[in-house]
Amino acid sequence: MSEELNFRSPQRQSFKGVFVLFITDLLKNVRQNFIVLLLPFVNEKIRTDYLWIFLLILSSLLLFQFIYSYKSYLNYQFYIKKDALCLDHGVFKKSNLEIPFYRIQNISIEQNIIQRILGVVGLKIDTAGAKSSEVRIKALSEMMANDLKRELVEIKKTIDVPDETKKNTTVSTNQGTEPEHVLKLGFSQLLKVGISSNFFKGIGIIFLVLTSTYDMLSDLFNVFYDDDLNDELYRSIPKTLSFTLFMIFFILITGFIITMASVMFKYFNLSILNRKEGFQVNYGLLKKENKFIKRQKTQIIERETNPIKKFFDTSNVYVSQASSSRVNQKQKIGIVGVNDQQFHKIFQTLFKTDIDKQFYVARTDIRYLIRSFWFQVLMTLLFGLPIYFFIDPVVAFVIGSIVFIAVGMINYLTVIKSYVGYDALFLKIGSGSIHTKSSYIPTHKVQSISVRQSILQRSSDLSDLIINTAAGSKKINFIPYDKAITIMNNTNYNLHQTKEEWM
Amino acid sequence: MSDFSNLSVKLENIPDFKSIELTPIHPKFRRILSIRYSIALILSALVLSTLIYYVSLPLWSYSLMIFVTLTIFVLIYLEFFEGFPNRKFGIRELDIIYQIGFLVKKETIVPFNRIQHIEVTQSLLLRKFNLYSLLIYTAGESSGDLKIAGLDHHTAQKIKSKVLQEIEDE
Repeated sequence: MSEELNFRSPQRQSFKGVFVLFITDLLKNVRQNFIVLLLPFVNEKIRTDYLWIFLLILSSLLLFQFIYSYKSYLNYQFYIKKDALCLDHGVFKKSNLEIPFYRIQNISIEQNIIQRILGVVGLKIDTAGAKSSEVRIKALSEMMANDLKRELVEIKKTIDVPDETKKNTTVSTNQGTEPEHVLKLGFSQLLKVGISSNFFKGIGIIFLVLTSTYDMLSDLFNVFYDDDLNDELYRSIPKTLSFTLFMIFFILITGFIITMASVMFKYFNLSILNRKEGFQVNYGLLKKENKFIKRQKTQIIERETNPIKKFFDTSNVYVSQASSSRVNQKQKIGIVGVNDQQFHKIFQTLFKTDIDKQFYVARTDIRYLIRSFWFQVLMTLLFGLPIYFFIDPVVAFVIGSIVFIAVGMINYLTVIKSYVGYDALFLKIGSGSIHTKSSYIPTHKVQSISVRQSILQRSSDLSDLIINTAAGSKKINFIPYDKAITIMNNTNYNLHQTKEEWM
Repeated sequence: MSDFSNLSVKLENIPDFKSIELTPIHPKFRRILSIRYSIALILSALVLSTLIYYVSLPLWSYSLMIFVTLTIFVLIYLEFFEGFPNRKFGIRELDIIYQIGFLVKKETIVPFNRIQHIEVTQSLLLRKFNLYSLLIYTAGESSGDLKIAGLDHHTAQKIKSKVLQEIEDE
């Protein structure tokens, strides 16, 4: 009969934990510092004269590492208190961690290769939220791990309200009636989406392809000719403004075509089906994707449009969800080709309410341009300097000015489009430059909220507002300080008022 | 800009976190900041002087390095020491408020019902002064987590039990 372990009093891990910790930390140190370890093999002097010092230092480091692992093991204790699981650990920095049972989402037993060799397991406790809020007990005997897990699960059963909204399993939802199609993207719609997509991605791909083929060609060139490809090209490139403009134009066109093609391939046959717990989203030609947007887990809905998209009555919608599963990843699902009516339908289904038009708005102040000025200068130099050195100073000046003005205009648009709107149920955050983006966050999905004010902003009474959710943080720059405070107070107030869960 | 036409509660009834009187962190923490600052200053001075002595670089680069380092330390000094009185926290019925900073001042509200778990830590340096750090984890990104450093044992435990009690009462 196994001894009944009392988790109410502090318990230690299995003694093998010393070795688990030691080996894990050792491997990490080796990986980080393997260059130093290679020194004797590389440097003759160290190998002959100083080898014994090197070995001495290495072995004393190993000894310290082991002592540290032993102390870690001794100081690592866990126990169950009235409402929480407690973990005490630390050698130099002592820590006492308490996880309320109510917050524990998931308890799992895992085993990596080191643990397998030593015959122990690890216990992982997940709370909602980012990876940093995972807790791991790294070396328990299998029996102890199972006992602890069992006890925690028992406690959770008595705490958790049996509530439909807390179920983590996806319910199979074929209701008998045909699921309703919220959106089905035909070919002409797909074409419109492709044309109106942001083509900077395509340009990026071109640069990648160009640089890699250039390297390849350059090597080939050296094999056949004595000359260097660089010099040959340098001599033959016409150093004229028209040529540079032509090159830029050519790159833009090709980028556009590539973007259009890749978007159309990605979102081929996009369909959104209305299900009991949310939306089923399918798309893809070569790579078929099936995603599920769960109403409960949705934290933020974003809508993105640009002048061309508006002309075609289409927009992109991005839904950010929090995940309580083991993976703990934030999922952002993108949908394209959404018109106004479809967007309202999606919004209403996910947030159970209509988009309210009345918002108390705080806009980003024009002085934000001062902060973004530095980026403007950087971009100008980035484009101007290479052209100055390799083509022609005059051309460089012209192109540089164009870039300066263009980036300046984009910065200006960014300021104009940046705002935060608030009402009792939602926060609406505006952003974007060439494209226009609106993000909707239900007030009760907010995790915490901050206002930041630098000493320069203080003189003009401006500040940055930061909204934290389980699907990421949003920052709105340079809004009036008193408005930021009002929004903070009101969001906080409504957060407490609501009875709804954030997930 | 519209009025609060769709709110059912009058403006005056919504609590204002700015009107709360906040509690400063323990004054001894200032000494810990001094120690950290001095160590960093001495180390940087050592690194810079060895660099200048052993590596030959143009004169202007030395002046630049020294200038940049000095500027950084002046800024840190302002932030840590002029800004020390700004490090305050406040506990209300339903949330915790924390403010910190001088050159960049940050005020945060974390509702108790959004706190996932809570950690009390004590580094070697803090141990010499009998002080603790409180870490409050939310479900948001780690930038939304709250760290209040420089609390005495009693205050840290009081906040911790208050938070845990609120979670239990949900």
